[in-house]
Amino acid sequence: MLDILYIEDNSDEADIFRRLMGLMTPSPSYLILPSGSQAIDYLLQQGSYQGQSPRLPNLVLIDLKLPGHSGFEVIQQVRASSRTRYLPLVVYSSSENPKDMRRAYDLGANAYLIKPESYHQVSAMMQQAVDFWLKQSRSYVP
Amino acid sequence: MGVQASMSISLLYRGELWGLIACHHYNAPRYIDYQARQSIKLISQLLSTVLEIRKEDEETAYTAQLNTYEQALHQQMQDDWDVVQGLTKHPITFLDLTTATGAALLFEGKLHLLGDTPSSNEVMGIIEWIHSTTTESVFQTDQLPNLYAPAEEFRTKAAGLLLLVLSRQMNEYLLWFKPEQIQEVAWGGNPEKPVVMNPQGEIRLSPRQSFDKWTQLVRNKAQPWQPMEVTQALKLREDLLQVVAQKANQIRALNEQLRFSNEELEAFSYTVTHELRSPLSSIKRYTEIYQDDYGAQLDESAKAIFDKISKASDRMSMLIRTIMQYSKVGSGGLTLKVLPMRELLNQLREELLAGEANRDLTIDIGATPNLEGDQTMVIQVFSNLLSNAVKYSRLVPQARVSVQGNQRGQEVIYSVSDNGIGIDMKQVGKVFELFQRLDSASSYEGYGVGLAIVKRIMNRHQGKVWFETFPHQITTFYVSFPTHTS
Repeated sequence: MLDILYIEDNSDEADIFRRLMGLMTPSPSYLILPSGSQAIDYLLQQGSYQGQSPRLPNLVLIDLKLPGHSGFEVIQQVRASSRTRYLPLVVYSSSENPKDMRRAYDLGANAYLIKPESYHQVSAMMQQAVDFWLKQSRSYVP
Repeated sequence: MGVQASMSISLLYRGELWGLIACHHYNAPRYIDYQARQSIKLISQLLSTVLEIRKEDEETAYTAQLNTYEQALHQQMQDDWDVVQGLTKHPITFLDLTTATGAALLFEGKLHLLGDTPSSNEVMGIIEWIHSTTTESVFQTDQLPNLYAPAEEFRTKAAGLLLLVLSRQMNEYLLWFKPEQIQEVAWGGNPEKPVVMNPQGEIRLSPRQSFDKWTQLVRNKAQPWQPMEVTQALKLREDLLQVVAQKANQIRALNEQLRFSNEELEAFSYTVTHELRSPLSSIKRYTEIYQDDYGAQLDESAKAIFDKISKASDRMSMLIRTIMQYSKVGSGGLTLKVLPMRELLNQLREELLAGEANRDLTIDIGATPNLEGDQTMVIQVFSNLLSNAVKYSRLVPQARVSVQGNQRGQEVIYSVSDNGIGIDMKQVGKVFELFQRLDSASSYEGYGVGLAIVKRIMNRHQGKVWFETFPHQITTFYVSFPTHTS
């Protein structure tokens, strides 16, 4: 069982995410991967994850600007594979550019969250989003 | 005249009759013998040869002169970097390139006339007619009135026409005119004098009779265009089109540079947003976390220090945002449409009043003619002007802000007035500069970006912005948007 896969290269963001997850009850299980390439390998069971059948998360939270494959490429690949086509996928980015938003939705993102600057706002947004999407995901029985 | 005997000697030029020597004898009939006639014939042949040589010399000299003129015109266009100026504003104009007496240039939508020409309307009529009758790029005639009836009216100016198409698409033409030839000739006698029949009912061959026939022939006709004139005109067209193409290339290159620097700017603002904002967010968030987790253990002075860190990072993040806003106004396209100004202004008014609930502030909105602009940018203009008006009238007991629109000719002018502190005219140069703030404004929050953005947006709309100020009485900012009549 894995609740959240968070794809994020900024260690401060990752640190704050860990902190926020720890404050939630119950605490969701999560995995943080620092690059788009690793995330694609993980979700599509390829590269170093080949043959390991890693657990699929209930929610993918993804930053857009990532080293290697960008967030957009991850969304595209996830949506192209039958195994991961219906995974809830939420973009979590500091970009307010409408072009980025449009592109993310066009590629199949379920939601787009703009990273707030203040910790209190991040906290409120993150807890709400995680709560909502995990409930959605758990109530969905394929 | 009492002429008893006459003899004429033909002068030939290139096998054609060029002129003649007429000899008259008055006292009595006179017979010229064969020998004398032979020597006279020799004289005529000699004269004809000399004539040919002289004419050829003249032609060579004339061709050389035209060549010099053509080169001069080319140089002038290059030096002035302007076709119209190069062709019309120097001692040598394109009229000198042919024997024409009038010339016209239709270029970039403007008609330029030189010398003796038909009126502007008549010239435009000729061009329209050419446009609809021929697709040739060169058109020449020495009898325009016979092809184009309206030319009868101005045949004294343009019986001959040489026209070069510069661009059919852009409707650009070069024209030269020659007058009807009959107008140029000084007659040796009265052309009205009737031909007289002799008592035997015979009509004798006489110069008067052939004269009459000749006038019939030259009606509506001008001197034909010489091959060298057409050659020079064609050469001129090549030079002109070259200058036009060079200018177009230069503009294209400049556009390319501009596009490149716009892309650079966009890449730069992206870097600024991402690379600067994320460490700043970290500073901000960890400060909050520290205050959350250890706030209870901090004394007042430590709390004040954390407060300063928070405020400084807030300020920095606002600065980054405003830089982005400012650069965003310069890049990206404009989406022009007619904007519902009353609605937009009312909304801005509500938002501003909501944030200023504790003051005596009224915002009056007068006439609101619609204007054409990019919605996001126009809202930004009025938002910046109105929030300045609200901000700088904060210390006035009864703050009055008013917005008034006015459609005037080809522009829509809006004014935003307030009765606040106003602007020190000594610092007027700073008003629209980025990050410049006036002394009087230093105690008010702000970054010196709002009016710089207004100016930039108005520039992008080909509009204007200006102001007038009577400090502590009334200060008014004006923005003028051009109306697009399309």
